[in-house]
Amino acid sequence: MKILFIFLAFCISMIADVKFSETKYLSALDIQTFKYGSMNIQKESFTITYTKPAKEIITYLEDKLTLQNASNEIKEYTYEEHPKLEYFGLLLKSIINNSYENLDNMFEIKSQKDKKTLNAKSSISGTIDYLEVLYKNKQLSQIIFYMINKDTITIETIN
Amino acid sequence: MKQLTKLSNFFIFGIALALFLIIQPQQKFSLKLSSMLTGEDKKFYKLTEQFSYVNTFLVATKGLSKEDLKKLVKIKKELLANPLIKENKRLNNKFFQDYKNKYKFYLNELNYKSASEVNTKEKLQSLYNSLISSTFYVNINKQDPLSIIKQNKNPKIKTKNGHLVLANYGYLSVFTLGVKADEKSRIKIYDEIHKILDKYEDIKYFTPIFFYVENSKVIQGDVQNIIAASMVLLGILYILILRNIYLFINVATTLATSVIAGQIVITFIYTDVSIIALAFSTAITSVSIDYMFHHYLHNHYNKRKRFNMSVFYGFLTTISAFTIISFIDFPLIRQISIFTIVSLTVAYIHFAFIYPHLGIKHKEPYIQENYKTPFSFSSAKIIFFSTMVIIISIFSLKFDFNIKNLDYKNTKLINTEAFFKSNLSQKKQAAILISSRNINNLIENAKLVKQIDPTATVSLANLLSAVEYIEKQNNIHRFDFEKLKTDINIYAKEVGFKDGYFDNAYSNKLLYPVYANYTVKQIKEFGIDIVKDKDNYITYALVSYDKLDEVLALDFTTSAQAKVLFENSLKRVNTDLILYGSLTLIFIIIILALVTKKRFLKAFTYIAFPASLIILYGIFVPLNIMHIFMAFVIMAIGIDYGIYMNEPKLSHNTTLAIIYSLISTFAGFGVLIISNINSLYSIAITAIIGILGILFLLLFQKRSKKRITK
Repeated sequence: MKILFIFLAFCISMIADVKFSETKYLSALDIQTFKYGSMNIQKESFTITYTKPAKEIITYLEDKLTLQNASNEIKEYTYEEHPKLEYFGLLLKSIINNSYENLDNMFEIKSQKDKKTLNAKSSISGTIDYLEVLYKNKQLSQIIFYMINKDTITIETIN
Repeated sequence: MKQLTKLSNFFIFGIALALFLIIQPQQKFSLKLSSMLTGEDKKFYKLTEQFSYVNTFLVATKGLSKEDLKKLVKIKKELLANPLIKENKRLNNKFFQDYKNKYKFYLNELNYKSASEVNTKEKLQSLYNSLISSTFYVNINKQDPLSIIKQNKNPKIKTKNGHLVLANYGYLSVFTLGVKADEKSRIKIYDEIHKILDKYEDIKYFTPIFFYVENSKVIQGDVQNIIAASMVLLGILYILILRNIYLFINVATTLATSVIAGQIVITFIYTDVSIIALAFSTAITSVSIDYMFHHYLHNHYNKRKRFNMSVFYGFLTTISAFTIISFIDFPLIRQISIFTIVSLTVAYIHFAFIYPHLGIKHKEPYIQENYKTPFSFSSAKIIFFSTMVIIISIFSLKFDFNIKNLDYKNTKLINTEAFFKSNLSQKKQAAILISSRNINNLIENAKLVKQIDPTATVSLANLLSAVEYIEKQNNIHRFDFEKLKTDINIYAKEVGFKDGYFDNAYSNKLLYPVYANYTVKQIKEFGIDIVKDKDNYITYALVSYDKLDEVLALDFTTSAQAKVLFENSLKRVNTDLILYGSLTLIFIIIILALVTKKRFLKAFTYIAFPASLIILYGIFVPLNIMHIFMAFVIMAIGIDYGIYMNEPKLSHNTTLAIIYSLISTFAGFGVLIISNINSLYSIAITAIIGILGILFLLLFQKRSKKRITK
């Protein structure tokens, strides 16, 4: 029975996709951009697949990420050369997995009933000001990035 | 009155004990290695203890799984609950980040020399395009939107899941320990850390503070064991040899008085006395008992006899030899010498002047008959052998001038430190100190070191110096940022940016910040090591070995490696050691010649033969300062035997007295061989070699034909 349960849990985790919409406010242009897609966490990787307005797939791996565009061209970026690229994936993955201990190095985390506020520590404070993670009925509903230059990125889960 | 005289030994001991309890000299005995250093070296050694690397504390959990990270986070929480343990902010230091932001146009190179080289419109268009189309988030730096400042490459720090990673071992956390540089605070934090971390498996942790605490604990335990073992061994030996409980109690009391007197005098002279001197002091009592054996076995305590000149000469030469040696300006040697002089004098006064009035009864020794050996060697042959050995060996002698090797070798901690160093891919670098009369010059000096060795770790070189500030400001003037700002105003709106979005770009506040008037407090807040020592400001740097000589040739740099500081201290006394060592030797030979006259050659074998054996040992094992020091002590003891052997009618009791005192010296110094502290071990091995040499002479040297048994 126990083995069956573990097996089922494993299967669910393999196929669990989190669908989301992404709203980016660019203060420099005073415009909003919209994207739609899904996120998928696997044992060795974390994938963000954008479906609209264009198909793009970002796959976060152990030491690098790959970006596949609409024409199926794949580009690689290593974290050693582009350390900041790792943070976004790590942030999303940790929040979805509810494993905030991974973020302990980068943020001071304050928890309220349905909200967590993550204030950036100095290592990334040049880019991110703070984050808000909102929950509805204990389910993740929104992640809002407040950037230093007044940009915001809102990721909203879609049931 | 007679009864009172008999108890005088105990009265004196009572006074000594009372003084001991009032003054408490034992509290001034130091476990610190620095108590062996002198002058500037001692100062530099103490300065290095103030720098932050001493208080850096590393913790690593094995494995890179989620569970391993959870374990590290749990450990971190537990550790940080202690107010003395803080996260190391070196990489995340807010004060330093703010400083770097304020002077970003001064601390970094620029991609262009002047505004005319910058195609503002094209750059803004490119920025706009990437904002609109990039998959990744584009962060516009509102202060420098055209990327005029050259971005420094990020330091290569391995991370996983946002946490530091220690090569392939696991996750790593770095802390700073806010402890004072005293033994009590260090022991407290050591215990608290171990209380938290001992319950975890598969973790490794290290801070240099552990060395101070663990080594101190070992040394203290070691010295206590040695003193206890030595006392028990000598006690048993004296009871067996003397077979006289009354005499034994008196001797034990006298030796205790002599050690207390030595302790009181030495701690009165020095505030910081090495505990090694204390361990040595117990051993030296085995030399002073020599005086008792000679008086006792020659019936000075049970019959009215003339003053024993042989013992007096022996005592006088030993004391004179130690007096000469004490001129060597090396704290440990001086402390041991002074201790020995006081201790031996107190013991001699007791054994020569007080004991004859104590009413001690004489008991015959076990052996009455002279022993016979199947073979013997003439004095000339022994001198010839010794000379040959000395001549052959002297050129192959090896020396070890690193006093750190005299300390306890904590292999477990050395391995843990090496583990972290190798996994953090730290190159082998040498620690140096950079100094100057003012902070600005200190920064300039630090930059010069960095210029000579670009791979050096010189935190202070990351700060802006006054010269650099003026130079960079002139470059900024020449750049014409006003033109750049005008161009941005013209093109930003045309390209599609929000009106006024770049109003703060290249502001005067950023281009012309006021120069920082650095203070020690401010620089420390940046996480950079700096200390003020009287009129000097001093910082710490790590330099690669291939550039070390070049860097140390600068007049504002000094080596901060403990090994070098100790070597310097020793090299400084090197000439002293040779000078006073030779003087001691000459003095001993002269005294011996004066006292022994025609029998000089025979008496001289007691110096030459043990010395040759110790030198022979030096071919195989590098001799350190304690070997050399003990060699002089052995010679000083040897001369006693040389003088006693001079008695025209060498009695059986003289030989017996020498053999007894040799056995007790062997027990006193030999017990030091159980020590884990190299300095005490060195003393022991030298003593054993020397004593075996003297014993060989007693057994196998050809004797005078005219002998008496009593």
